[in-house]
Amino acid sequence: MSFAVTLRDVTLKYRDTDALADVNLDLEAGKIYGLLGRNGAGKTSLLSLIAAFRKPTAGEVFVDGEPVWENAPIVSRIALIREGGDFDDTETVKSTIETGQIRPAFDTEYALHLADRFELPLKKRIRELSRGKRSILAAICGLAARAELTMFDEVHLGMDAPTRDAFYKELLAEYMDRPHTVVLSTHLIDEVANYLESVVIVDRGRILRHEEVEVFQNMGATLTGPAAAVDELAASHDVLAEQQLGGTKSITVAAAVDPGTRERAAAAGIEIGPVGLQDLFIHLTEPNRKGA
Amino acid sequence: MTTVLAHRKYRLALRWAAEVGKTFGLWTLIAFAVLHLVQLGLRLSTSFEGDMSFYLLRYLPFVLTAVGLVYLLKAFPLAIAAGLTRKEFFAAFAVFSGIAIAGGVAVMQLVKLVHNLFYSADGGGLDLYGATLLETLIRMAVYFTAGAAAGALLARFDRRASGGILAGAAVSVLIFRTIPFQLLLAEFPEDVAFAVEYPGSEELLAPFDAVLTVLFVLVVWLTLARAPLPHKKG
Repeated sequence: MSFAVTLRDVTLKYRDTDALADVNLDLEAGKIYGLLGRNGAGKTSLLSLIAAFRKPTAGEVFVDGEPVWENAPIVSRIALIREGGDFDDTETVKSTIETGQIRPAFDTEYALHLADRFELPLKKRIRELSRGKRSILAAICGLAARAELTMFDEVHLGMDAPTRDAFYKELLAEYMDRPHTVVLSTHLIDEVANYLESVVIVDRGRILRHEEVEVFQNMGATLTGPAAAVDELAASHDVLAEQQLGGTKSITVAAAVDPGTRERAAAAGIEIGPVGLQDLFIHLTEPNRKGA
Repeated sequence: MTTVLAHRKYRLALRWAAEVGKTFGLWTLIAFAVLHLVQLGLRLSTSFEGDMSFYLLRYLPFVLTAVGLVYLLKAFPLAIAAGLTRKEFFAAFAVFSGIAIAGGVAVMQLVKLVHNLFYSADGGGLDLYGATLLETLIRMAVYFTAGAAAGALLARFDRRASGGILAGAAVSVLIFRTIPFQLLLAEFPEDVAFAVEYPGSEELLAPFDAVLTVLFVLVVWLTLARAPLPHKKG
């Protein structure tokens, strides 16, 4: 079983500032979502509302069709893992893992297995852990929660590249083994892009875009080939990014490539690839850009 | 799964209680034992006849204030982050409070018992507010809930200065609660407008403390019933 999420006309104010304004969002059950947004866009606020860490100023949040606020059967099966985890710094790693048993489906054996795999010292106190190890512990607690809705908010911060890779693979394995809803909030967009099925972009407290990954990928294209030919073909398009190595150039454009352009590209020896999610995200959330 | 969900608040309360027993509880008993060993040594080597347990009765309740404050402040965000509702948290903390207060009463009665057995020359025992069982219970409850109220205010304001000021106000109400009684009830000599003695009269303190306990519980409830979990500081 996995949880669907619905937000209806949700507004969250911090004093006079709207952290989120009139947000309407539907997340289907059993998918992996990427939650993208610039700093201060409202990602963490959105996740906090879904996990009932906060109550919205206006509007309603439903999880599995039920209001989430003060709903024990629901919130006990939602795991929001925040950067660095929510731990008692005086406790040991082992004791912290055991505290996870407060969740109905928490798998202590799996958590201990992961702690061993990621070389977490069980007897060490949380305050003695490095930032990376602390992040790993947070990720482990999230995975072992076996929740119906698991949300990771920048949980990878401090992890080195191999550890992040191992975490994503473990996340995917757990997802394949037990389908549930996952939300990954991250700034490392290209790193997680391959794992995502759907992407939500939050910008200035509003949902800017909510699409399947394929839809985003078809919103632009990367043209790679001889520099002069690429420049000519890209001239009439909005350029998101460009790279050049010797005579070979790669330009990412923010437009779907029509059949005519494809033919001209093929004739000029230019390869057409999908647009990078990160390039598209930067383009879509450009502060001077108007509309979505 | 339903059973786990129904029982988890009690398991959490027992876990906190065990922690307090192994730390604050144990330290208190060790302090009590050390005090009596020192007194025994003094009795054997000098003409000392007194019993300092009197001071324990007066100041041990502040240990419960500290427990209430520390545990509420640290447990609330952890519990909400671990998927408890606020109502579940209150239930867990209420059970924990009951155990902690009962532990405090037991220690206080032990202090009184030991004093009466070994040190009371006239057999009359300690005579002060908090010595009878009911008074001890009320006294422990008001000290614990004052700490919990202070912890709730600190947690609600994310440990900022405003929370600190309100928490300080809650503890000040506890510490200086005898003063209004003096001003209301005492009869001053003609040439004295008013006079305050600290710690003051404790004649009507038990019923007042019972009311104050309820007020402190209300402060905890009203402060945290809709309290957000603050964002993590990066």
